Amino acid sequence: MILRWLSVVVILLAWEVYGRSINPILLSYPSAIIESSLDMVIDGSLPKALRESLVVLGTGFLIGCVAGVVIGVLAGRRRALAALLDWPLNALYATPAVALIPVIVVWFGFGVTAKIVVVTLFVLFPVLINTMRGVQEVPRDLIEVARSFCSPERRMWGDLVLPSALPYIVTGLRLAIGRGLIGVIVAEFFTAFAGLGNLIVTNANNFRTARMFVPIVIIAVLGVATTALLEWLERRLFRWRRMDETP
Amino acid sequence: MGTPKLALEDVSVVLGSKLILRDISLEVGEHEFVCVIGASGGGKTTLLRTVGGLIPAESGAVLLDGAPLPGPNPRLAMVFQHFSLFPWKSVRANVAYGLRVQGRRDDAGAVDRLLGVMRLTEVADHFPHQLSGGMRQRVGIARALAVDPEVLLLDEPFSAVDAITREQLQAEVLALWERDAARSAVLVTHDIDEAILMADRVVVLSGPPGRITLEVPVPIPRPRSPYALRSHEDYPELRARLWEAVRAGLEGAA
Ligand SMILES: Nc1ncnc2c1ncn2[C@@H]1O[C@H](COP(=O)(O)OP(=O)(O)O)[C@@H](O)[C@H]1O
Ligand SMILES: [Mg+2]
Repeated sequence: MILRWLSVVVILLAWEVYGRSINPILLSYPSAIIESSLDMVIDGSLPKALRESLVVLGTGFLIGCVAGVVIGVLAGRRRALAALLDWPLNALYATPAVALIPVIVVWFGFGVTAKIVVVTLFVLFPVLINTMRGVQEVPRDLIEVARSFCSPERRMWGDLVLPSALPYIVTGLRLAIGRGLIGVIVAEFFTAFAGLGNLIVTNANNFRTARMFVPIVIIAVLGVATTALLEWLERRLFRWRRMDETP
Repeated sequence: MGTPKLALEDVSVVLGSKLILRDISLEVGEHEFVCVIGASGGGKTTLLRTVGGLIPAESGAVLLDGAPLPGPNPRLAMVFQHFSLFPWKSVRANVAYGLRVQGRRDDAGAVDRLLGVMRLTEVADHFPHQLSGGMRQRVGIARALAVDPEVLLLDEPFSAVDAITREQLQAEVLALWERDAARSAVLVTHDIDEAILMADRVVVLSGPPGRITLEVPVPIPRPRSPYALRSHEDYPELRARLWEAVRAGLEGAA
């Protein structure tokens, strides 16, 4: 823990020293970024952009995760659906989601809807694929135990399927956080006029480098914070697991 | 003799397209302890899974008190070779599992009593990965006994624990079975001494395809101990006969 904080401090210090020594248009430095962020809070541009981005991120993340888990569970339990989804899923997963953004814009316009669709797409696949795997990995011997003790089918979901799939689902969520953040920013680059991504583009175009870095730092912090939250949740949820067993 | 507690009548089992068990007929009386021995791959696990209703018989029937068993039945309970505990359930929840899924209440405090008997009370809130192999199998045994089965099925229950623990567990299972006059047991093993120690009757299963090649009662009086056993006058001949039958089964298969 100390080492982690130490690395943060060292990087910030080095950045500050090096950043001051070169052209502020090329690179900014921490104290200038903090100053700019205060300005941007006061003029209202930062809170507004943050709110816009969080709405898109939150909505898209929620839809993507729910859809991913639901489809994943169904596909994991029904062979036919899994076979049906196999190729299209792999094709879509292999395609860089960025490539789909122009298509989405054509379909959904430049508004919030299009951005939510982009985030949903970015989030959906890791959650779906991990959920599907988790549901398929229910240990066969435990299914046998459940059957031999005459467990009703519906009880097996709670006793078996969910607990053994949950670690996979959480792994999917962790990947989804990173991809969701990328999704919002990229979507805002393309569609824009709102959000943190737009703030990056406009400030970069105006050579206000310190201001450009503010949303970038916020995104980084957002990513680290949500991942930490998830890890904390994981530790609470999976006390039954050995430390060396991660999917 | 009246209706046996458990009976197999000409049971054959096919898995995939392979005949695994052929015309098995076997009776287990009330409060009888039957051991099935045989080399591995002979179909012992398949036999127990068939009795437990986990796989259907191709032909023949499994009868409990004379009535056919179409599938898993709460009056039978199984102890698994590799424990097969729920890793996400505490020891207590694992032991209580059968009662819970069968929607039965534990008014008599069977779970607590079994945790005590199996010396698991102190680790009742631990998870399986925190236990030794012997402790895990105690949980597996307690889980099966918690539903108070009329027939206890045990699939090489001591093969995954060390020799000292094995002796302890053998004694514990015997004591628990002796205490309850309404409980029959079928234990599968590849260990001839274990069979002689535990069984009223030993059955040799040879295969594949598995068939019964010898059935002998064990005339040594209870309580038995692994040491007293070996000095009993009938022991050498009994052991030799069983060993011969197991070996003959192996050669027949080869
Ligand atoms: N699900 C299955 N499908 C096909 N063959 C099986 C299956 N399960 C077991 N067998 C075969 O049945 C035979 C007996 O297996 P098993 O009952 O596990 O023997 P044992 O418990 O005596 O070692 C083995 O040859 C094994 O390969
Ligand atoms: Mg076996």
